[in-house]
Amino acid sequence: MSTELRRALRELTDVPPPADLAAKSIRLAGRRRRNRVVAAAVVVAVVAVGVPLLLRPDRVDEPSPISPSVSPTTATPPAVPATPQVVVFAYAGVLPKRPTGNEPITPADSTSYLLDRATGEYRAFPYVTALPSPDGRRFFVADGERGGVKDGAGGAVRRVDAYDSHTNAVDWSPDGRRLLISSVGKEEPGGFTVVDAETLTAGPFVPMTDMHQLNARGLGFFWARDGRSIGHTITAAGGEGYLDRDKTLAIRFYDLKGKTLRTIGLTGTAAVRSTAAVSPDGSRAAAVLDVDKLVRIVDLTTGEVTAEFQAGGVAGWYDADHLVARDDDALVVVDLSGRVVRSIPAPSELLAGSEVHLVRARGLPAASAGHAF
Amino acid sequence: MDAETRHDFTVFVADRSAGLFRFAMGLTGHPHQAEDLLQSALAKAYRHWPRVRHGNPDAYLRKAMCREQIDWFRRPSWGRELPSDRLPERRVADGTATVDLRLALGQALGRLSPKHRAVLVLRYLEDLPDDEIAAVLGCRPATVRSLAARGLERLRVLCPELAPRLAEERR
Repeated sequence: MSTELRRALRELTDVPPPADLAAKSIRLAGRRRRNRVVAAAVVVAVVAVGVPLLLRPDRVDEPSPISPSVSPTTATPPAVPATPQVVVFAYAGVLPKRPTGNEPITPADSTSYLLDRATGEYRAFPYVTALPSPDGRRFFVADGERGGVKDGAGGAVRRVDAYDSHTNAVDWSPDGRRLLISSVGKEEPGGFTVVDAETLTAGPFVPMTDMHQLNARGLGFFWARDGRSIGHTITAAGGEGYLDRDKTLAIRFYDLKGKTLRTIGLTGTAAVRSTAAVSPDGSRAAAVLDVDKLVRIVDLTTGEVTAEFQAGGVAGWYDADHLVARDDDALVVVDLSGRVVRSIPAPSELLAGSEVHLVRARGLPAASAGHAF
Repeated sequence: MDAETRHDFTVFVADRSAGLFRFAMGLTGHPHQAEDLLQSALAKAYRHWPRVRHGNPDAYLRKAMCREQIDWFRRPSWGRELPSDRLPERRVADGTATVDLRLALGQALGRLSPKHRAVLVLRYLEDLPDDEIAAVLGCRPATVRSLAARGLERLRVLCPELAPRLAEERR
């Protein structure tokens, strides 16, 4: 056995070393040194600012409106549920406020904060992407080049081979059992792969010409609420000018073999990007153009825009009649006219540049359900 | 760090990178993870290079990689990433039983715990005696022997294709 083991080890390790190892290691040593300095400074700052705030006797969480509504409604607004509905399960891709040294901030400097559903504690990881499954039991996590399924905030990561540097979107199926991995493709036209989250078995790669020809904004596919079909916001180039936004043309739905099921027209510039933007009953979606701070509520049957208001982005649906909206300073529950109905205690340092991902509070263990709002 | 230290470090890495990367590959089984692991150990060594250089830099780096790999798997982050279930790419398409056995063995190695794997790599790839392995891992030689025995036993379970080969070796 030892002979075979020696041979196997020699064969397995017979790989040439990468180039520039010394230079890369020296750069890594420099980054680590700067990180240590920054970490020490952050600890000092947190203690200096956080402790007095926590001890302040009149501490209250005041509502922080994101922006005034632009589409006031005359109808009686639906009541916001008395019981908390959702929990922020991940602040993904949080960027440092300041660059370290002379190097610019890049996504590689990101930290993601994942909620441990069992303990109710957020844990920090150096991931660019961290997307919780709808039940919060798993996360899809990724850095720039590799991605995997993490079994809970404290769990192991199992690598997903379908994720690579060409991936432009990842979306959990509504039942949390499958991942939809969109790719612009190493070679045109790109497409998608469905991966079983339990076994990590990948289905066939489905090439989609729409990914290449009708995708000026480089968007990926998202799950429809039925879990049997997927959607894609079709976009076209808007013009040569800096202010010319790429145009939204339609939302198209396909089956999991790539066959077009239906197309609904949608004009303007806002886009539906993920299943989190689709309402719980699947009838509506929030189309967002974050650079213009514009949110449009789209009927997914007719394509009609039923409401429009301003917000920096949408983290997800709170219930059938409310959304969780966000900008870089605040997280709020709004009704479909953009009126703020509830504010959410969220640290602004975690909102800067990050993606906020929600999980429904119902069915969560008490520890993590305690974070519900 | 001054230019001289930097130059000395660069020359050392250029001279030893093949062997060090082979060791990192043995611990991880994956080129990207091996590169990350080796880079991390080298960055640590560079920080203390004047002291490391005048000791035994190879031993320092082996120890740093072993400890980081074992700790890495304990940490709830990428360190606990499980190796792919897929077989490594076959380099020789001869389809013989020997190649199949090595592929199966390679896959089984990927499923060992980091500590068991580290002991087997140090013993069968680096050919280190048990007392040196113990020094690298920070344990007693008896623990090394125990880990090696358990690792080999686990390999036998994970790689039943070894049974005929074992019978041959016993004869």
